[in-house]
Amino acid sequence: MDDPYAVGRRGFLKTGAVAAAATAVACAGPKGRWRSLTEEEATTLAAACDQIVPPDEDPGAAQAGVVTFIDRQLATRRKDDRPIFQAGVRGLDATAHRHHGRPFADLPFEVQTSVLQDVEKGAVEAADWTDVEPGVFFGRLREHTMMGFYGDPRHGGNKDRVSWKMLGVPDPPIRGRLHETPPPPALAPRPSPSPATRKG
Amino acid sequence: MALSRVNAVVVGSGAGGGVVFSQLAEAGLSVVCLEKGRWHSPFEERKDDLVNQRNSSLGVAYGPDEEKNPRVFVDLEGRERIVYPHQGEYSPNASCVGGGTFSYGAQAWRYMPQDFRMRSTYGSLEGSTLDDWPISYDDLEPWYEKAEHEIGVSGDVEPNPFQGPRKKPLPMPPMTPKSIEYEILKPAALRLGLHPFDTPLLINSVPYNGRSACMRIRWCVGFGCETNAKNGTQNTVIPRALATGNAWLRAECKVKEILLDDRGRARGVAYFDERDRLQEQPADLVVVSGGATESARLLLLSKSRLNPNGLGNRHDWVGRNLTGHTYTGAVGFFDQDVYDDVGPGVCISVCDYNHGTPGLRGGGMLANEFIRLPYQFVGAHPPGTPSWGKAHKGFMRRYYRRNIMVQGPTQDMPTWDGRVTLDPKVKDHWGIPVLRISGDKHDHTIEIANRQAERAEAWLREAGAVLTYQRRAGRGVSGHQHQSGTCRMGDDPKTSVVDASCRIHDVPNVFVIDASVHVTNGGFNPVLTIYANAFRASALLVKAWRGGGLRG
Repeated sequence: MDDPYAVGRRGFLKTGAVAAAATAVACAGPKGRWRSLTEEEATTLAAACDQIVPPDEDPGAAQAGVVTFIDRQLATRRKDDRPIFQAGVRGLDATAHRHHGRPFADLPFEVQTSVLQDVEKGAVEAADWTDVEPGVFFGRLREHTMMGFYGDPRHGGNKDRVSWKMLGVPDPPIRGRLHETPPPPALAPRPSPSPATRKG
Repeated sequence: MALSRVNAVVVGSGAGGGVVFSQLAEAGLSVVCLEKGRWHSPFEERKDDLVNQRNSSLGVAYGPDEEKNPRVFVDLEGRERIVYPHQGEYSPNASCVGGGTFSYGAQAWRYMPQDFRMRSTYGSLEGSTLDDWPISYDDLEPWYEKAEHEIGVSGDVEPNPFQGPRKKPLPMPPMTPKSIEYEILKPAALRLGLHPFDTPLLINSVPYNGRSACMRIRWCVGFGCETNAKNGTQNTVIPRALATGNAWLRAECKVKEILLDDRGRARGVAYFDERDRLQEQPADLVVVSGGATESARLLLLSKSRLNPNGLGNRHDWVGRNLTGHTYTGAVGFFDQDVYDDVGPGVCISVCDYNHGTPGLRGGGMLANEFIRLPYQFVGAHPPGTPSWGKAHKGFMRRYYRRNIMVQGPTQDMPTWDGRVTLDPKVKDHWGIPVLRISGDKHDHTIEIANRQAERAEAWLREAGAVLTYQRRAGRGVSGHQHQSGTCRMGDDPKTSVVDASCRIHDVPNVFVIDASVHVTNGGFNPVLTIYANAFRASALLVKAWRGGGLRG
């Protein structure tokens, strides 16, 4: 069973081996701090997300935790998008290598922008994009990045409500009651092997 | 094993079913209401902007259950694919106790007299099944009044010269103080010669019926109300039904079919309970109130020797004429902040464009929009401007608090091919064939809707917007939360499914009471009409019951 509130990145770093064992049992995905992504995919995605919402006087997507958001969604509610992201990240890096000799994340910001514009338009080498249409991947990348940056922080993105502060949304949001409620029961942390791992 | 017999089974607890449930129970009938979804408490409401009925990017909050209830959508090229409730093509409506009324925006519109006489008013339209209702505005007027008072409506509709005659004012005054959008849009409408007024809402502006007044947050539409000031069936008529002692509501119960005897009469329903056990509930009569998509599905699933194509489907009308609304409008951007986060959001409206434009068969109401969830505003940038990158982020930062959206529901021209049928292959969690949705809008619907977008833009320009653009109509079948029309009401059994009392023409003890029976869907949010017609049809049903005609 997938669970977006199972021990995540922070919990893992804080609680060490016990939590690592629990995480490994809980989700048979790639090892490490991510639930769906490899470390390399996460690096490429962080750069790509920062193209969608770049840092300026306000934080960009990567700083707002959008990669954590995407990692969680690909393991839970948006599982179907996982192959699209895997193939798309491969395509993005292959395109960067073909034209610039380096992975996407290592390119200068402006060069990344032009690569991503080509991906959006589909103006890329078909051999680098055999498993997903570039436009389909770009659409999901933009959708997930925007959700992660502008959506509710409970899903892993919008860290410290950075986008809501930027927009001037009342912060904390005005609510009748229980505006800081824990996640609903279905999403609550599953029982942990020791009390020390409860900080998911 | 069959459960003990009751007088009536009501399938669904939304605007139609909730009202029928209460009216039959209060008349002394023993009634079971079967609701597919769960009970939700308003006090547990957690506003999640990515998981709700307004924006379901990460799922719906109030059903239907994502995994258990797929459908098949057929696009304009004839390609089919399986869709789930968080996707627009699904034509989702909430599925919980209260149905859509737990999380709706709660606009409380009476249709206008012309809306019941579309064919008489405008003549027939090629390619459309446009027709008159078998009942008039005057027939429904007392029931509109009953719905306004018993469910609870606030607002001030007196300045609206286009409404049909009414005997009583709304029971609650409009919300005060006003929002910035109201203060900007109202004088602009007056300068244009329009007739703006306070939008009627099924939300308490003052304490009413034992519950509190609205606390004026803007997260209404798509969410539950944590102060319980929004009025749906779950906090009005359903508690009344349960208080009679002769009514039972069973949640998480999925009705499989209406059971029929050799004479073609219903003898009850078969359903899967909350633990997926198949149950039989015998009853003297059955009321179908599942919403326009699911009500049609249940009739099509209920086959017998006498009804080989489904109940009420002798002439192939069940599932056809699926209409919702074609929403169009405009966005206006201002040089100054126009955002104050004062709810419920929609507050100012005009009905100048519902009828009377030469060359157009109707139109629709226009009003300001409820809410701009930050993520939803991502797509609000003008066409042709960047949709990502630095420029887009700058757009978000500059305009999130400086925009107003005006939009409205255009009355759809119903079509024969805009429809739901049973899919021959795909089954749901319970093994029941799922719905298959197909069709397109009528060209004239798109023409009217685009005219509405131009009008919305003109209103925003007059209000001082420095930059505006229109949100125009797209193609594709109409449906969604305002779904209606699939079990049309009419006097002629050859061209309709139920009679004017909402009884299926050739089945004496099965009724359809929800928006399925709407012949046309008005240029308004339909819920008050569903409530009113449910009160009216319930009264007729009780009268027939007391006359003895409904007992097997």
